[in-house]
Amino acid sequence: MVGLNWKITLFGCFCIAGFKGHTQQISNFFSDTIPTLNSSTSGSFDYGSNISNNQFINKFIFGGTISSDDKDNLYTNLHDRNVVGGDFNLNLQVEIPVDSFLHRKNFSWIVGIEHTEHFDAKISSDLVKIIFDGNKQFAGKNAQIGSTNFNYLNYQQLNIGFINYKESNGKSAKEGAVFSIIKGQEHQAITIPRGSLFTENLGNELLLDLNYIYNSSDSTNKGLKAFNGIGISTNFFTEFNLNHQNKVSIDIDDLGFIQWSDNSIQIEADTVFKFKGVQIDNIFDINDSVISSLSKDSILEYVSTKKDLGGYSVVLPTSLNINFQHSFNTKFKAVIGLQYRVLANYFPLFYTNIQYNLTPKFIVQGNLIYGGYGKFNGGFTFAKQIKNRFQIIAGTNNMGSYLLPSSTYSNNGFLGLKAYF
Amino acid sequence: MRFLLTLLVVLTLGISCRKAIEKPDWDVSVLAPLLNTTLTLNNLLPDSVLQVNADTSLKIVYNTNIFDINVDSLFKIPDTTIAEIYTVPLNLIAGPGDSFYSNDEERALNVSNGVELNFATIESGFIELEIFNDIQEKVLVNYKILSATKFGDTLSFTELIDAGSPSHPGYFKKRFDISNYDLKLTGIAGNKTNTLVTKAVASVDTNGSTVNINIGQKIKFNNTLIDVVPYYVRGYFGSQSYHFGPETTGFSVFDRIVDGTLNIENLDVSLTFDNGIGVDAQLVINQLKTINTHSGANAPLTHAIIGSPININRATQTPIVPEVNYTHYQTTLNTANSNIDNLIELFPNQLQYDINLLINPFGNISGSNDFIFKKHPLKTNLKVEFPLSLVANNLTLVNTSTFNLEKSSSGNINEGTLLIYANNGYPFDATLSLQLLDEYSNVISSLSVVNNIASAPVDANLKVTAKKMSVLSVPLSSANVEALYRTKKMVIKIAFNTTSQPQFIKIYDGYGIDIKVVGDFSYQIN
Repeated sequence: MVGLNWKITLFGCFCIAGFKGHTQQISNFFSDTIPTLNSSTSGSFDYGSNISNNQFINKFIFGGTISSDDKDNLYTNLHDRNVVGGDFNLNLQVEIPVDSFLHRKNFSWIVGIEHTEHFDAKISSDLVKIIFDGNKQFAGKNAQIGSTNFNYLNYQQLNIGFINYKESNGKSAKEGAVFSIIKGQEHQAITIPRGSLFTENLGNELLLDLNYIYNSSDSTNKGLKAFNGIGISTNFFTEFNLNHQNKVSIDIDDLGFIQWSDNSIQIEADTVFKFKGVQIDNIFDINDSVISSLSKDSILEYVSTKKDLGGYSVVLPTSLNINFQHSFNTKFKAVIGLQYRVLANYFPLFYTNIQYNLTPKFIVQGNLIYGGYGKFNGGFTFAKQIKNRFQIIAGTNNMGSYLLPSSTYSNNGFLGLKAYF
Repeated sequence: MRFLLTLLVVLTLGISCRKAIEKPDWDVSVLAPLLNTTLTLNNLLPDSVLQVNADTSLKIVYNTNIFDINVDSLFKIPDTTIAEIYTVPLNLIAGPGDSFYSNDEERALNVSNGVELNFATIESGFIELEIFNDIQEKVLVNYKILSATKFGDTLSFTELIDAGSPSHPGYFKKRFDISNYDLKLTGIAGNKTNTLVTKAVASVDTNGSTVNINIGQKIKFNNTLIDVVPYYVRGYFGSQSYHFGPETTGFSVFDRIVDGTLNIENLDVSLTFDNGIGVDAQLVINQLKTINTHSGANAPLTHAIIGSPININRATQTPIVPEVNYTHYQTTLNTANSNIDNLIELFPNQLQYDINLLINPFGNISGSNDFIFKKHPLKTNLKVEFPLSLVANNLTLVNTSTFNLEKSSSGNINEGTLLIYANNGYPFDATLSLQLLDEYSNVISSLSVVNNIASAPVDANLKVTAKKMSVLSVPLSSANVEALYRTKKMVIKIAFNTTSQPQFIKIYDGYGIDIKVVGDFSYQIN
């Protein structure tokens, strides 16, 4: 179900070309040096995996038959830390300049709303093989399914913050913070620190040694209107001009947590389950109840030893971003940076951008990335200013996902629109 | 404004595009246990027919009721309406409270078959009373059924009937529940039978006016007995003949056997008559035969009892519970004095009987104290008992189970194999076959089963020494799987052949076949 949500949202993101949330991607273009009354909306999607290439991911998300070749390619990439993850973000923001605030000039309030979905998972190699090829391959053997976790978050937030336009080493720079109140819509998470599945050689029994915790927000209350949790978060960002040509930017996003409601579910177990088939009194009574005993829900009941209702809190996958920007001249500059997300099965993402102003109002940028949820990839961003009132920025770091889907492991896209008043 | 419009268009396109999303699919190979059970004879035979002998061998003991003779068989009290009409004989002037009619009346019940009842206790039933009043003032009627008492109280009511006229009489109707009432049916003088006594008293309403009651004006009472079911009756039931049959009754012990032969080493059958009725009876069994409606075979019983009168003494009544001391008559049927083995070995599912019954063959020797309780009939039972020491040849049992494997949106079976691990503790081999039926019981497909369940080894005493493991497989092609998804019923047939034939093999308590069903499937996940 979570997967389907993702498929829908990601596809929707393709269709609407994205309304981006990667603030730093947009602010790199036509950067404001003084407070202005403006409104911006943006969207982005971002997903990847260090084991499955885009061809595989695209089939998984958008449909299609995953062939034996697809699976063999997947298995060649398996190693100790197999991760997959992604984000989808929609953002609407208004910047309102004020004459002064606490004796500060060049100060703006920002107010906005935002929708975020995030998932990430770390999956053991054997579990990947079980998911895509079944357990028969492990007949007579133990399949290790521990060291696995999955986390899905879906929430909306109301943002209130400020931007301070400052001077740093003789050039303009910005700093600010955003404080958010979060409405939690849905959360699902499973953590399996230890687990193994033994399939008896002839299939006579399955032995599941499992230590897991499953958390879910109120599953009876779904959709955008669902208010299943409340939380807070903050974003901080700042820039320093090292000199006339060099600048350092630092962002911390989504530092916060969500407290999920008392109707949330926690299921846990730390035991060994031996399944020898559904025990029936009379083989002539193979009726609906026996068949339903083999259903997914019944098996979940079977492997749960403790089920509780109650609230719990979840730390958001906080993002840290630092980059260094060097301007060669008024038309040409380069950026190198590092992004990391805590508690999100994320590898450090290294990126570099080369930006060139074709005209004062049209900028093209080449992007190269390595890490995150995927591997190496590259792309382009285009930024256009229209009549000094509108800006449109669109791009991707992952052109490879379209040109070489079998050799690239991540995809993203972003689109930003900004209007000045 | 243009910006907002553009945004709206883009969002609309986005939402419409979402519908185009398809599901991914891939195949996995699943190897997992599905079912785990132990098959015993208890699963194959009707409930409670297996009993354990002292040496732990098993025997079948099956009791079935052939027929009952009860109160409904002997007589009925039909719904009856009895009218009582009072016609004013001369002109009267009656003031408020003046009584102008009082009468005790005997009312005969129309009891069938010439049965003469002097007492009855009613289990359920009603008396419906209608009263029509021609007099031009309200009339107070007190109506009693003097014969009907409940815990000593007479059935009685008093009701004000509306004023009327000969053309538009005042009308009253009421239904009385007479459940649990005792009815004394001997009339006013106590020397009659089937006779109720009623008493009606009519007077002018005490709150009414003085009224002229003219000659010819009437008060009419319609008294109707409805759905009367007696719990107990007493009287003389007459010296009467009854004929029952030919009628059939079910015989379920072999319900699941559809083919093959079975030789039984010993067979004991007893036919018993338990009389709970307080009448002497003489019963003649004209015919008793077993029928297998599936094969069309039937076998009439040959035994000295057929066609010979059987005298069954009357039951006696007791003042305590149970209210009746039954009398019993029993005759034994075995292979030495009858062909009962022929009747049993055709695996009957019906018994057919034809009997004559004569009650009170010696007349009214009870002094009109014949009795019958509804719950104590004359019962005829057949008890079949034989040890499970037998020779079975292709003895085929069949069972039809409901089955509903629905397709899932998240995944379905492509093809595969059902593996059946059977660890057999019985001294017979077994061949399994499976048939798939739709909701109308039409055959969709048959599943082939590779291999048989082999017999367990036996020692010199023909006792099982160890279990024998057999692995059967049921290949499921994609066509078979499609058929499984359409299946609503599954017919499972098992054919048995005992080992060491032609010797009789005893079946002992504790024998069983451990069965495990393992699925080895290719499964498509969506």
